[in-house]
Amino acid sequence: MRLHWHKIVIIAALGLSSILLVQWNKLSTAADMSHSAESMAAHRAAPAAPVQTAEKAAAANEVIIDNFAFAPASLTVKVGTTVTWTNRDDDAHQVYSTNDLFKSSPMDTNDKFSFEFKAPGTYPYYCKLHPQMKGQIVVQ
Amino acid sequence: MTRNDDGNKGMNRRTFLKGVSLATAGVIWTVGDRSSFALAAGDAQAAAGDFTFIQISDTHVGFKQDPNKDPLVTFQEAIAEINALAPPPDFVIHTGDMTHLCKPEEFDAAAELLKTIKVKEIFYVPGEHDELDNTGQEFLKRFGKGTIGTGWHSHDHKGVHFIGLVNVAKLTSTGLGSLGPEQLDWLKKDVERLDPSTPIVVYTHMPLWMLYPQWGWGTEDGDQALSLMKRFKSVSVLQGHIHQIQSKIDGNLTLHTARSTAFPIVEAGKGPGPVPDKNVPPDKLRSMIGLTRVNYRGQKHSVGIFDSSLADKQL
Repeated sequence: MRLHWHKIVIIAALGLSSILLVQWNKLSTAADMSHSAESMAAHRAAPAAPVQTAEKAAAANEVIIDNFAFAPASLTVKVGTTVTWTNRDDDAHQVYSTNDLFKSSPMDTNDKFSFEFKAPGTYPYYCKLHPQMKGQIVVQ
Repeated sequence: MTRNDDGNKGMNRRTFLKGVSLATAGVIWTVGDRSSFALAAGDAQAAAGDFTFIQISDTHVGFKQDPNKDPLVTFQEAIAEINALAPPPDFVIHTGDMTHLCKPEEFDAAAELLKTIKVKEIFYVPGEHDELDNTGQEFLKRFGKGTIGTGWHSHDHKGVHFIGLVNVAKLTSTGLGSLGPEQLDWLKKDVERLDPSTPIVVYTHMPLWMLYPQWGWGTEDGDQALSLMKRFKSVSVLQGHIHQIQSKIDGNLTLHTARSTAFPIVEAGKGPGPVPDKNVPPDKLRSMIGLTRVNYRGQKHSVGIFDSSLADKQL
């Protein structure tokens, strides 16, 4: 059992990790960029990020945190909307605006956090505990 | 019990896998000089210069979910095992995630329990859960006395140089730990005055090596820290964070992660992320959480690392 697991890790270390990371980086480039100084401009210039997931979301102003992901990863709302994040995961998470505009308290399972978006724009955010988890709110 | 005959010949695949199987048996690696050996519990006569210390990690006070709705209880059981040790350990290290949500009341509850450990000194490094106040101040004001920056420090004990590193104050955008240039600069100065024969023990929260970067199980600039210590004859790195035992040996370097006293996390890749293993039944929980005891043998300059679960009921 343990041996088998380690073979997986060795393989991952040799090859899988780079493949996964490359794919993952492709998905998250927009949010990544916002960590750097030039990101703001980049965000305005390129109307970022996939919106497929947002279209699937039933609740127009809700983000569910589950399985180490924000769903939808990109949510589009109208100006003045209050967005609510709900942690349905078994682990704690913490919503952090990449540009320091909003942040939740550490969220235990079933905790909620809300923030009202008063101005149009793209608001990337991540999980403080697991920064590989990224999302964005697009306010129109 | 088990014996590691590979000594310092360097890491190879066999050594690595052997280390894994030994880890599950509960008695694992020693590093040090050429006569590397593993000690069965209680088999050795303590000699001058020998000492023991205990690593406790990931106590997660404030966690309320399955498989452990009250980690204060298992934290207390772990402390009872430490207090039953004879002779007592010289000191204890806590390798972070003391609290689950970084709340003042969680730190206070943890601090009350830590006071009941019968030991002269406890050294601390924070985990990322202890930094959720964004400044690390809740942790630092209670446990950061005498430390530098975000809580790093070093001390010498009976000829061994101990270094506490903080790799959780600023996680990378991919979720890895990081030490940062200021801490690395400090580390460089801290070790450059030491003779290469000085045994080094490093303790930090997240794995210093790239154990499973997909889940953030690694430290972005960990290699830089390890390269600063390459010239030393014996370097042991004790970590937590992943709530399960993993080891890696590479020449004179041994890296090891300890169990949590609160709950196990699923094995790498076996879940959507590093979630608590909530399917562990109550009667199995204590076999998957526990403590790590480290024996230093002065004459042989060897560091022996021993894991025991709370189900073992003795360290």
